[in-house]
Amino acid sequence: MFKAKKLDRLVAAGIITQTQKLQILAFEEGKNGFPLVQKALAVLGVFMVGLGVISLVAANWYEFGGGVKLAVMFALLCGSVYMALRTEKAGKKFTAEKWRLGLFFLCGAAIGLIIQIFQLSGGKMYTPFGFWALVTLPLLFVSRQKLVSYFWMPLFLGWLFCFATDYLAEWLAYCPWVEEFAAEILLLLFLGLAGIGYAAEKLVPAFSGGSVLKKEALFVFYAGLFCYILAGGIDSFSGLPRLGYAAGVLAIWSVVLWLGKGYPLVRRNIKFAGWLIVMLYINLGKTLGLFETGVGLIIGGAGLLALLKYAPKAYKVVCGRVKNV
Amino acid sequence: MFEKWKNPVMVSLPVVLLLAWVAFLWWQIAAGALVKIKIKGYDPRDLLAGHYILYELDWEATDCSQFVGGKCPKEEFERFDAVRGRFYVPQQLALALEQDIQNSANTAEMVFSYRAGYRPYARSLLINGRNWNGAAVRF
Repeated sequence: MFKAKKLDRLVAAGIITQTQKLQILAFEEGKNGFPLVQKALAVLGVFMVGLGVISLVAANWYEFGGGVKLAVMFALLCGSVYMALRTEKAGKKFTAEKWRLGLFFLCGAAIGLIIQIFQLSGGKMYTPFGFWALVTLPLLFVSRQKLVSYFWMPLFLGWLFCFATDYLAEWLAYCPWVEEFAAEILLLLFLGLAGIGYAAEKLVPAFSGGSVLKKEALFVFYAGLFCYILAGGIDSFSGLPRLGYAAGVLAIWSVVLWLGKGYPLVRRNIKFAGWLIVMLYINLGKTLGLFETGVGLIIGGAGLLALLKYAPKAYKVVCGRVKNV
Repeated sequence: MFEKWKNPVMVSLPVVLLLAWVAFLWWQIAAGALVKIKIKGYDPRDLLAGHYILYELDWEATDCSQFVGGKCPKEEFERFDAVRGRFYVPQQLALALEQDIQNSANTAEMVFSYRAGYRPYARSLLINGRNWNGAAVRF
């Protein structure tokens, strides 16, 4: 609906014709076999059914023996496998994907149930989540709709984040520099994962997780970088080196993207460079005392006005070049 | 050929892996001998506590004669991170059981399936020699 309104405006402005508008709408409709609302409701339905089954088992926990609970769980798992295969064979691709998603959630519930029945404890809290991701990994090789990937990947990345931070903390005893560079190591880890996702997308097209890994790892990387730069602006002691590292990462990453013709991400990096300049201004302002005295405030304010005047111009010049490539 | 079997194999694999895990756990537990180790409750300020009780093994009060050579395998339990653990019970019973364990007038023991060199598995909780849920204790 929003797309149609936007196209109406383009028609009114004389940029596209009415025929072109209809062609664009027909193309978009054909591209998305399942509308977003339908997909969201389907996912919600699967999630509610799964939650209902788990609640039913949990509410009658005391009544059932361990063997009965396991038998019910494996019957549900086998039923999901059967339905996923049957609907796939019948050519109902999206229904098959929903069953695979149901199977994914049931596997998580089954792992929790097995842990409780066999009284498994000790070890790390995040280990079962890693096991869940490992067990359900094969689903990503048959899932073409990416629905399972959108749930699997946050699970995997969340586990990896916990695992990496935990092990970085353990390495502190052997490598003291790890503490100083823990944030940088984590940022580079997620950037590396995005690279792996990109490579998987190109080399193994049947693996639906490749593009999702790339997108979600990049999201975590940029969210982390945003916070990292923010911390660099606020922290008076180690802020400047942080901002320097961030600038270095952005510069090297942009060069790599430029060489690989990843221009949209270069544009995003330029926006982050703008954020970095603002934080650099705040850091320097605090260090030089610009926000504490009258003269300092005048110099600081003038500097900010100059930044507002010239930074967008510089951004437009660089972005304009990138857009035109 | 592979394409024909790829979908059934990949979709079934998670269930097969879970079944294999259950079979492995069953075999591990069946292969071990049941031993009783005294426990004491502790309060680790666990926000998730509720449907399980938390325990810590009390080697000082444990009868070590049940182990080979009459020596309690403390190091082995430590190696498998089994000195402290969670024991899953229905939520409505957790608080009462926790109080029973902490009451010094009671004897609380954890029954483990133990085999030297392998991970010990908690099997049951005994309060004054009786199973926590009233079921018969099999040794």
